[in-house]
Amino acid sequence: MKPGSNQTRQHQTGQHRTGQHRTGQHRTGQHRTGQHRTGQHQARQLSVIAAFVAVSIVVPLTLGNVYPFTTAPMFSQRAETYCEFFVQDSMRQPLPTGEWELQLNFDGNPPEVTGGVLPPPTLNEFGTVPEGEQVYEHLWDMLLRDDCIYGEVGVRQVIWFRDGNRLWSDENLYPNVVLPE
Amino acid sequence: MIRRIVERQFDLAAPRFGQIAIWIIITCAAAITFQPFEYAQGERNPELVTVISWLPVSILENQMLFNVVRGLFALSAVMWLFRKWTPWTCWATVLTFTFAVSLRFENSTSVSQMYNLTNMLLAVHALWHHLCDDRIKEAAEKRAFSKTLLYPRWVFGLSLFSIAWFHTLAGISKLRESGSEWGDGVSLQLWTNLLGEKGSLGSDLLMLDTEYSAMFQTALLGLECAALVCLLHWSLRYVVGIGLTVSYVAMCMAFPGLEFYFNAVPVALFLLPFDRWFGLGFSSEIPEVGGRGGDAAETDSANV
Repeated sequence: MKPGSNQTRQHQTGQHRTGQHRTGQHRTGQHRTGQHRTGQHQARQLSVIAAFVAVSIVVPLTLGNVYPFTTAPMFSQRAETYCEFFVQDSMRQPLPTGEWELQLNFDGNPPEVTGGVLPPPTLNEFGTVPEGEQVYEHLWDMLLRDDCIYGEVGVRQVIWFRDGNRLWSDENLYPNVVLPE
Repeated sequence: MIRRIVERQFDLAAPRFGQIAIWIIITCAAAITFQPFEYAQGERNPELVTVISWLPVSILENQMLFNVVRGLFALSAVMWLFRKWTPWTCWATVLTFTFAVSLRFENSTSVSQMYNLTNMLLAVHALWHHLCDDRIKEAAEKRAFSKTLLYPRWVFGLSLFSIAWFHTLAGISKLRESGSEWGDGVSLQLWTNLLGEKGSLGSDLLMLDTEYSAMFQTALLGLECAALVCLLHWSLRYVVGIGLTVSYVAMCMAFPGLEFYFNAVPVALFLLPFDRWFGLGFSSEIPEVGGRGGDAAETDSANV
């Protein structure tokens, strides 16, 4: 058969369309071209896939939350209650709760999972409700700070909790808090 | 049987679904990278937060570096989209995205788990371009990229695994921290009350009754723990996909500020029947580059 004859051209251009070819050479693997079906290339791909799977499993379970790896701990801690504080000065003007370390540092993650900068300190952790003496002592410590320009503050604490099948809120008031003599 | 499963991972399909996946993942990555961000001030966390936590603080806090990394991400991502200098631009996109998000977390008081899936899926698709580079380039040179079988089944399978494992880890974290009582409904209502969008339909539904929120929470925990079953059969994948997508829609409505949509998009893309809608069919018969293969009778869907 001469090169360029009809039969040869058919072999070069049209062989994939013939049913004979599909049931013949394809099934035996002889026609598998390029590197995709070669054992060496498949073994290389398999080893990379296995390494990717192994790293995805092992690193989060051993190192924990080191981006880009994660154990996805967001919203994993259940809570029964939380509270919010509202601070005001003696003239009833609202003050930032962060300046009194009463803000809620909650983004859904457990407290130990934070960014590269630690959240500012606070008395108020999600899931806990500081009350009574604990709040007074904290406020006295704040009033004693060198940079504190206030002699008196008032604090309103709103506590959220379950009652029946709904959430309800209750309030604690700490009015006119001044340093004890 | 294991040998059969392994062999099937090298079946190929036309690259349309993979190409669309890359466009969507890179769009998500760009939206994450170029979000406005404020540097937090305060004491540094001594713990490892990211893979670059070991770098000197002067580098971590360098805002110019952050902008340069974001610029390099944009450049490499655009080049990847146009398949220029692959697979180097693919890996440059993965590394710059990882670096940009890490710098963001290093200068923040909080971290989010809404960017990890995007990062892993970028890496999976970079692996595809890396390991199949010769055939992809040959097809592109012959101007036959779209009609050549180039997309291996393992790319789809590894993407599914990344998504499923992420959600299984989330389920394990919940069980480990709180036990089976995690889904009591009260926690979800407290989170909704504090972080949710007041007056939104999602928030209102979750706040309606603790019994309803407990049902939602328990169903979500079950779905997360069982997410890996989506690797077994397409019907299980669709069940998990529908469940997770509905959950994400509810969470996106209730917590629009928490960026759940960055996880919802890949979950919907890979776990819902988008593979069928985009005609993803794998063939074990691999024709020459440029030759069209994979007739309907010879292909099967994206089952792993």
